Amino acid sequence: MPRDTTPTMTSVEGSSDEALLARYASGDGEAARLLVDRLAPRIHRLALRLLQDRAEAEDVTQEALLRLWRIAPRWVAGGAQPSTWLHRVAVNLATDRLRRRRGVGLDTIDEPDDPAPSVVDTMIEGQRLRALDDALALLPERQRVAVVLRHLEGMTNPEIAASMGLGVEAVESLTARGKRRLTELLMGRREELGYRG
Amino acid sequence: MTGEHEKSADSGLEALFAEARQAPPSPLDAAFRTRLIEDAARLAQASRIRRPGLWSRLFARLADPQRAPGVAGVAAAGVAGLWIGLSGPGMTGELITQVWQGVAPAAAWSGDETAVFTQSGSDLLALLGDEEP
Repeated sequence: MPRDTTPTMTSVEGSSDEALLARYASGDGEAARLLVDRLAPRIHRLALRLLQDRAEAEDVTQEALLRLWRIAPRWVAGGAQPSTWLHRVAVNLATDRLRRRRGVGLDTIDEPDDPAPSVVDTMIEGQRLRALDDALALLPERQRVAVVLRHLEGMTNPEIAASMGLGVEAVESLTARGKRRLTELLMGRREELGYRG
Repeated sequence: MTGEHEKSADSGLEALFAEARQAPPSPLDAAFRTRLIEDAARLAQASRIRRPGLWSRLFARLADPQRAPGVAGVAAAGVAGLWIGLSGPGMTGELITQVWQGVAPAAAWSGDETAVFTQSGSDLLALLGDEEP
């Protein structure tokens, strides 16, 4: 009886992202499906938080993945992880879009005082993460980008500064102001969100 | 906001950030997911069409000395070896004769190269004696 050399679902699913990318480059369509399921939702969430526009977030996710597929045959094993690489590409694509939206650099327009009402009115009860996303959506754009990249994506201030085309001090200022505003927006629902004090 | 309240609010926000970092993202919209997978398949297909086969790539390299000078040199040496092998020992012997005789025409050689080695030492001495004045 001939031995079945086809990799089992389990062995493929247990592969690293890098191994899956190599499999994709050698023509394994299943590897692409697994990579999409592993990497795309996180990238899409990041893009959505930055851009606050579902269609644009999908465009960014799609473009970032297209770049990953294109580079797959030349991917250098042992370097950056595909997830890290994809994250960086997505951040750059999203911040480029934000710049184009404004028509000028992200650093050239003063942040207006945000006139939006408290997020309390629109928050779904008990859903803290939804409340956070709602509050983020109400932040001025640059503050939102800085807070998301610093506190939700774990990027360093110099990395954020490079992505946004700003100085490190400007990023620190934006992050601090963004956090203050978030606190104000979420303050009214502290007990509902499960935080006491 | 008092200092105490501010500290408490900060810790609450930090906790919320930590929770958000740990939370798994929502699954993709099914149609969007399908589109992403189709993109991957389309690019893989295009890549296979563009990529020539192994032999095509090998011959292309052999034909291009600028891209693979070492390989081109090996190929040239192989062709030369093949020619020598096919041309046989007779022609090789003639070639040696011509080289040894320098500019002298091959016709001036009275015997053949094998005759030299079949003569004994005394015959050779006799030949040398005949040449003395």
